[in-house]
Amino acid sequence: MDALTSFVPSWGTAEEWNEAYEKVENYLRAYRVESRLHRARLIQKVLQRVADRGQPADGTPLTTLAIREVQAMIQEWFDKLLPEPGASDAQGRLGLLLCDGQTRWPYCFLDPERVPEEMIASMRKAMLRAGPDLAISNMVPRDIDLGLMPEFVGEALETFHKQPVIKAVILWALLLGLLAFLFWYTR
Amino acid sequence: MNIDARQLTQRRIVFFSTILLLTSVGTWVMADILWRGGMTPLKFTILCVFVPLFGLVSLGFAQALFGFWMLRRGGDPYRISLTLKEDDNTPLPVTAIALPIYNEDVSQVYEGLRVMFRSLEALGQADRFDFFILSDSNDPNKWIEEEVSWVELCKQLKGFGRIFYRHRQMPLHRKSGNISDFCRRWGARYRYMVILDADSLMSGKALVSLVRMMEANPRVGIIQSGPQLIRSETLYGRILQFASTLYGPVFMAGLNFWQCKEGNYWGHNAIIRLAPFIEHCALPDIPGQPPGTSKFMSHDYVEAALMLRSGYEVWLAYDLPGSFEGGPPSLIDAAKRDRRWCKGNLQHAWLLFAKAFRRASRLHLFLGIMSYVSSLLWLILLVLGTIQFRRVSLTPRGYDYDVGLSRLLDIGGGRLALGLFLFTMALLLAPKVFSWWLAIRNPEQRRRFGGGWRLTFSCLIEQLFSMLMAPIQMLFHSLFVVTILGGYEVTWGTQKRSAEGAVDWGDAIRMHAIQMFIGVLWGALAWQIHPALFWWMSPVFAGMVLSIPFSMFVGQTAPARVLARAKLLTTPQEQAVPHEVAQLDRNLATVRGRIPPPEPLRNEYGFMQVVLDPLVNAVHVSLLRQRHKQRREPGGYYAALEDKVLRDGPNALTRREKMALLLHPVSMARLHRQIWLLPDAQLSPWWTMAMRQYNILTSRPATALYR
Repeated sequence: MDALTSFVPSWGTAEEWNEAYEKVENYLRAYRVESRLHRARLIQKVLQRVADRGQPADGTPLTTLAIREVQAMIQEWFDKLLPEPGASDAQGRLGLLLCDGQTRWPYCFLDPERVPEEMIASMRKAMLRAGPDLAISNMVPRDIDLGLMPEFVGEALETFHKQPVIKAVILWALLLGLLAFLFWYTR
Repeated sequence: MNIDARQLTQRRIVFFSTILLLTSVGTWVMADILWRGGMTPLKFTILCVFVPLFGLVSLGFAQALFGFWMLRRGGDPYRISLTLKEDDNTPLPVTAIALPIYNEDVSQVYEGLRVMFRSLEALGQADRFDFFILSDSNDPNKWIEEEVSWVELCKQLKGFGRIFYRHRQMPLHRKSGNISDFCRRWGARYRYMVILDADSLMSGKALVSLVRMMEANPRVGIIQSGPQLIRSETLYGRILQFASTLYGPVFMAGLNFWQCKEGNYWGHNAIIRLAPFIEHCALPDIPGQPPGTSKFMSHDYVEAALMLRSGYEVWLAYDLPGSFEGGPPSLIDAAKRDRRWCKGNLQHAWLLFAKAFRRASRLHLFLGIMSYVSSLLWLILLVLGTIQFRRVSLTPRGYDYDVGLSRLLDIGGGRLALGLFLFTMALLLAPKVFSWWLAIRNPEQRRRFGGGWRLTFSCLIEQLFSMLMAPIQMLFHSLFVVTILGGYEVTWGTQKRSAEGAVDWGDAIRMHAIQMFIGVLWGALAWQIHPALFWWMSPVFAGMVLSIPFSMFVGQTAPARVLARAKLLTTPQEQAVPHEVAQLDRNLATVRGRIPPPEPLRNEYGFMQVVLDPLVNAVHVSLLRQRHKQRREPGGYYAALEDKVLRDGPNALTRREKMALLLHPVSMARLHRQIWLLPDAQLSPWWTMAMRQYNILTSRPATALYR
């Protein structure tokens, strides 16, 4: 914990560093870094690296600098573990999830020295497959001879569906029929 | 299973002769009653409507009668399950289990899958089955929940390479399109495919038995199992569950009696031979809307007809245990489902005269249509009957004079009408009596239904509720038929499959107000015509007038629990819970016992996860990249959406916009990066809250499976 106690940022306000601390902590927790000890160590490392780079001239917020730093560290870590350096970090994240890295090796995240071979191997072979290898089939509908139906009914229905006026006329006829019935009934 | 054409024809002649005989008797008596005072156009119309309805009643009775006979003699000698060998240990071909889903309850689907996987594992057959979750979900949150749950489930079951998840970007042609897409991609890899519904559950033994039956019968294209309803929590669900468990076997045995190898397919809990299915069962367009042609909404009956047309057999394995499904929790949810089915079944009218279709297929299609059209016919019959009664009441002698049959039998017209009524009731109730008799005579079954007295009392409760439900369903179905044929679109929302928040007063009033109004008006009219008419029709009016409170009442879980404690409306599956069902209950109780995400985040939880969570984002982006490797950098439209969602939160985007973003891997990767990089001031407050809350939410494995 020496490093933690000795780290005092030389620029930025305490409030800004608090915000950066919280943001990095949130980010690491989203990565499932559940060990508080390890998390605290990593946050300190990230913030120290930000502090060492000095205050940016363009006024970039400290939280952004801190997240940029931790993202760079993660990419660097993935580059060391994955077979193709520079591959998408999504591949590394996926490997971490599929091999249950954070649960099985809780102190290894972002620490290349501690990563066991088993973790590296698990992460490298981690891959999601939405399905087995394709075996394409040609499923083509065959025509059905509908016989008499389309001739007799098809056109009538077609016309009925396409003509709102006909629909309305039928509704009116029903209404008139109901009125006629009521008239007849009340005589 | 061999049944030659002569035997099958003989069975059908006996079966349909019974229906013809019963219908002839009913029609004769009805005509005799109506003949008094001369035949009028109104009376003739009544007779014309009466005949098909009585035919359907007779068909139901005949089916139950022959089913009862078959079950009494120890089972049909022509049933597909007889081809199963006791000690068959021959290695099975790898079979695909397809689970097409569309915005379903993810926990229900995945926990069901877990139970089936474990059940197969226990039999040592897990490696002979590949599971395919085929998602058409267009709810962004459901989609992400499905992906996350799939990864978690695979990790827990070590199921990578055995359990697959595929999401379609464009859900073309609904469920049938979903299945066809699977067939086109992977169908050639498998000999068989088992189709399940979102709430289906099958034991490992049932799955293995289906495959073995297919292996033993190379000319069989489809075997449909007879799923039992399970896990009903509302009163409506329990009534349905009890009725289907007690009465279902008799009807299904009867169905098998006349259909044998020319059976039907109900869309799920069935096994399909893939090669002929791919070759012959792709669904063509049918005439009608939209522009020029449309697609079949209800694919199963048509696929069975096409399979039969291609020369393969379709069987019903009605006695196969271990096949389960869920039922709708309320009358309203049943109506929503029925509306969909009604629309699909009415489309089948196009196929009634299709060339090369088997007669059995035409009959299946016709019965499917009539299952809804008959409601409209009943309504017409009751209305015409009311009008006719008024006319008769105005004549001095009414029907009570002797002509024709009543003179021959020396009874008045009134008594003859009463006789016809009792005959109809006997035909309607006999199937229930057959089923009751079978259960009461079998000590084991009787015990599993709660004992003799409880079984009898449960039957009476079921009968009372069925009586009240019938007029409500009649009005619903009539409305569906009229609006669908009239080309009117009525949106009813998605159907619920569980009892959670089954019915509220608002829903009940909106759905049943017209029915209540019709009941009150019709009842008053009947009373005014003649009190006797009112009392005769009172069960119909009671159902309609009480529809709102009744629908509310049967949609509740509290009365169901009271009856369950008293062991009423209980079923053998409850008394001796099958292992798989018990396991599913336990799993779902665990899942649902967990604390849900905070209210403001709950509705967008999936979207929040995929943007915030680096691991969930990685899963999503990886799956997208597998299917869309050549995605270009997102253009202005996507950049604008990204800005909007970051600035205003996910609630500011429409579902379509969210789906557009979710379908774009570059956008999703960039959103994840940006959300963490941007200072709080440039983010919607929703996101800053989500980041802080997500800390708490991710303290345990953060998968939808645990939510």
